[in-house]
Amino acid sequence: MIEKMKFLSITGPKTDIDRVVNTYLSKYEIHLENALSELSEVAALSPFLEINPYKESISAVDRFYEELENPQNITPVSMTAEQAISTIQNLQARADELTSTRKRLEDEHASLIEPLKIIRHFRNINFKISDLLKFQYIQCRFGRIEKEYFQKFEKYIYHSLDTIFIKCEEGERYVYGVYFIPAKEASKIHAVYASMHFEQIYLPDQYHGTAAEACESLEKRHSEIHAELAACKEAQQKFLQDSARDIISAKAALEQYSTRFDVRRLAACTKSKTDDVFYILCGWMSEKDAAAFQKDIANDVSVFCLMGDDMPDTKASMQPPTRLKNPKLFKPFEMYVKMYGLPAYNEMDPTWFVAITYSFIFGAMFGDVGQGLILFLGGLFLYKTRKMDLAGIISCAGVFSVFFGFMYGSFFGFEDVLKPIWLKPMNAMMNLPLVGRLNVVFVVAIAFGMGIILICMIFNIINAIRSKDVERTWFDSNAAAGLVFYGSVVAAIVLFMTGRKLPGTAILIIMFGVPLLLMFLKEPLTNLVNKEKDILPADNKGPMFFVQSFFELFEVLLSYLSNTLSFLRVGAFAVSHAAMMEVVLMLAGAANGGSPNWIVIILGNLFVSAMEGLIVGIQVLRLEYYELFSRFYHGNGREFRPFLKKTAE
Amino acid sequence: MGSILSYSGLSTKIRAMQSKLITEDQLAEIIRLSGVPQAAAYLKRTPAYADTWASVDENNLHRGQIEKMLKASIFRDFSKIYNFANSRQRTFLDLYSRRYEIRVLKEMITNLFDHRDTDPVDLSPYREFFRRHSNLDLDALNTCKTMPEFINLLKGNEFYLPLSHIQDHENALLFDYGMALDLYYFTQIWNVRKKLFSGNDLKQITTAYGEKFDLLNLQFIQRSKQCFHMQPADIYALLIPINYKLKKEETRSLVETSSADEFNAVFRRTYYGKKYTKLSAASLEEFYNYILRNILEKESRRDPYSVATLYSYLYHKEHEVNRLTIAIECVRYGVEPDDAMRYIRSN
Repeated sequence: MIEKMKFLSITGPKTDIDRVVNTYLSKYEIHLENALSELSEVAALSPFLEINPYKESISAVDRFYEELENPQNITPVSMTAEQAISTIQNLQARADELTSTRKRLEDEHASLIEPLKIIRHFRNINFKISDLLKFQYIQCRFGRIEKEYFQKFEKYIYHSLDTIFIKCEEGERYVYGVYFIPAKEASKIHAVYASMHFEQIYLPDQYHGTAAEACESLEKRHSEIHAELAACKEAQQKFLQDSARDIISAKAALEQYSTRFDVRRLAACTKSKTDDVFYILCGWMSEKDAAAFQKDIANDVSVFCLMGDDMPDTKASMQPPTRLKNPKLFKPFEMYVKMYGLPAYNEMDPTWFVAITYSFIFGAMFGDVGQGLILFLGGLFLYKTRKMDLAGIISCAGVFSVFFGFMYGSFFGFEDVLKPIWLKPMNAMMNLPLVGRLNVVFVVAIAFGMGIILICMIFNIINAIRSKDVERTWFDSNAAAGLVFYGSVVAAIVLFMTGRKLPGTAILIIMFGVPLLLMFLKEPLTNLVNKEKDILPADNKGPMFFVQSFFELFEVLLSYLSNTLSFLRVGAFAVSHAAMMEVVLMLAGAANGGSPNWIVIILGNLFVSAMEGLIVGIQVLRLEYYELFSRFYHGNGREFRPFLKKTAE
Repeated sequence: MGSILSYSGLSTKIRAMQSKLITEDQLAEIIRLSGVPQAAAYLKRTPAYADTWASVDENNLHRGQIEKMLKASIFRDFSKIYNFANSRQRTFLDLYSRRYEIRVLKEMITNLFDHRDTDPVDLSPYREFFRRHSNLDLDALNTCKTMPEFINLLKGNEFYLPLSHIQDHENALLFDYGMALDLYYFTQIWNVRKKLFSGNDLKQITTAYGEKFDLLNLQFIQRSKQCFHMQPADIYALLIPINYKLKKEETRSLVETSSADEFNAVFRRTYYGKKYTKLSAASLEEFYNYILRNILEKESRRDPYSVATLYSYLYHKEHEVNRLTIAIECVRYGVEPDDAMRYIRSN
């Protein structure tokens, strides 16, 4: 079912808009339209411009929110807008403080780490570094030599060179150390060191005391900084944790206020020289809500509401939005309808039809008491716990699967446990004139399909009458003409197959010929009824029209045939299900009367129900969309989107 | 006993291969030929090259192509021996095959440093061999345009470390990279020899490589003093950090000598000066090959069932290819047979 909608225009003093939104619109679901474009013919309107005051606070709170670990677990408490904003400001101030502490520590760490790294290599020099650097007659250089060169240096050169090399740290690749040379011979000896690939390391003159002391004090400070940083991080973490509820509550409150505030974007303002500016909001409400709303504002002097029954002008955007309202049982099937497209407001909601035909056809194709029961229970379980619509559909289909299981007498593939109430799809045969011997289920499937197609044509006619579409009411292949033609064909086939006499040739010609002629001439006839100027379509006049119409008619006839045969699949799957289970039983060794292998039976059942369930599910959906929906359903509706979700009260 | 068993097959194989090596008499015949095609045709008739060169038309061969084919024959012989060897012998061969890797890496680095737009190194002689005996990705390496790129691609390979260390030095030159590879290879051999080998094999490898390193060091010192007049500290930096028979003090006094005569006097007193009385300091370079060959031949004669046989054959094979290359060059440029023979002998 599609809910009846009312178009409302709400107006009042500009400054009053927030009160109205908070007191009334949060109680009733309303689909707001952009007032400015809806009322475009009223010239003296201007957009309602005001900057959202919550934006800044929201982006601030979002930053906190992102850092929370599992925000879903905390339920927000309600806050007023002022409370929320001041909470955010407090949080921000505290967070800034922590960040600046951290920044200061990080800076200090950065300035400390470089000298520390250098001095670490030379920590065993038991002398004041600053004094070393100030020697006048002795030069010293700190640095490192690659190990292999150091070995050569020690082996061949060191003892004959006027230098003292003090080895400090020995790493994997380098030997660190400091060498002293008399200033007189500096350049010569520097050159020797350079030949041995000595790399100088410049020591900044900022160390206090001996290298060991300097290193120790720097290291102490270094670890202190790390501790402080860790503490700072912990404080931040704790701060976030402690204020999690505040953050979440403020976020929820602000988002709510912000959304409500944004109602202005859809509102319009009257223009006025004086101060009395009014806002206008317009939108759709369900009939029930609209009545309650009217009653609610009856005593409010500053709110005025106009309610329109039928919309005076027929602009495209004025088509009311669609809101489906179906019994709980059919609700899951709304998914399939929405996948195809929402019904237009004045169209018929096909949900109940889909629900019934889908479950029924699925059951017929997948008739097995045991597997159906599993589908039913499994689907129900998932639907209840996970709220999966598809599971609900499977569950409904499972019921019919059980039903047809009894009809076919099939239980987990065992065909002889239950006695079939109706027939065995594999074995039941019948003779038909002209066609020969056929499975009964095939014949029934085709007959069923013919019935369904006829019903769809009737739906199409109803929809067309509702939307006042002449062509689709009378002349289309799915309209009255098509109905008469297809109905006559069906009737003729039934009469022939049951062995009765066909009516006279004249009647047949009228029943087949007239509808075909109407379909052939559908465009000129429509134009004639609508009293248009040109009777033939404007773009192809003359012989071209007849050629095109002829081929279109040909195609229509072909599609009647193919659509009808399409229903064969219903019977085919009923047979194939039984056949596949027979194979499973054969593999399990149950066919010869021996005791079956239960593991094979279970795995086989799982495999067949999974695979066939999937295939049948898809095939039925294809039947629904292609054979049924295409006949009567357009699905070009707009969804009803309430501006505010109803707050739980 | 054990070594006779494990080496008997291989040393027989090697002896058979050795008999096919080109002799000095054959070289003398080659240099008398009138042109490169005739030389190629001559080689095609020798048992060593008859099979593999059979399909090649010598009339269309360029000298460069012949050189490549000769190079490939080294790898072919190596593979033959490798296939025949047992796992212990293969450890030596694996160690030995590094020198081929270093050789091709050096060729590529030379190309990188050569800033003319030279063609990339022709990998065809190497490819097949490297597929089996190396995990260097030659084709990728060959596409590199800069040294950092090249070194980066070697990541994970053993050569990465020595080369990347050089990269840290300021203005590193082609020579430094080549030197780093050689030094890495030499120290590697020296350090792992005790782990990989034992008994007789260890002794022979120690002798062969020890003397080789000493001779190379002597050659370095002599060359850098005589030709380049380098400072002692710079010379020390280049030496192979391995001493075998050449003592530390001897090395130092060689480096510190101020004249050629003084150098010669010091050299006379060393192990090598005493052992090879014919050898003078000035002819070190020419005699390097002679001495090395001498050592290897002696070792392998004294103990045919040892790793020395392998080393000796591989050395001779490379030596043969070197000499053939020279011989063909001489043929190409019409050098007088007597001069040509002198060039060949000195190599």
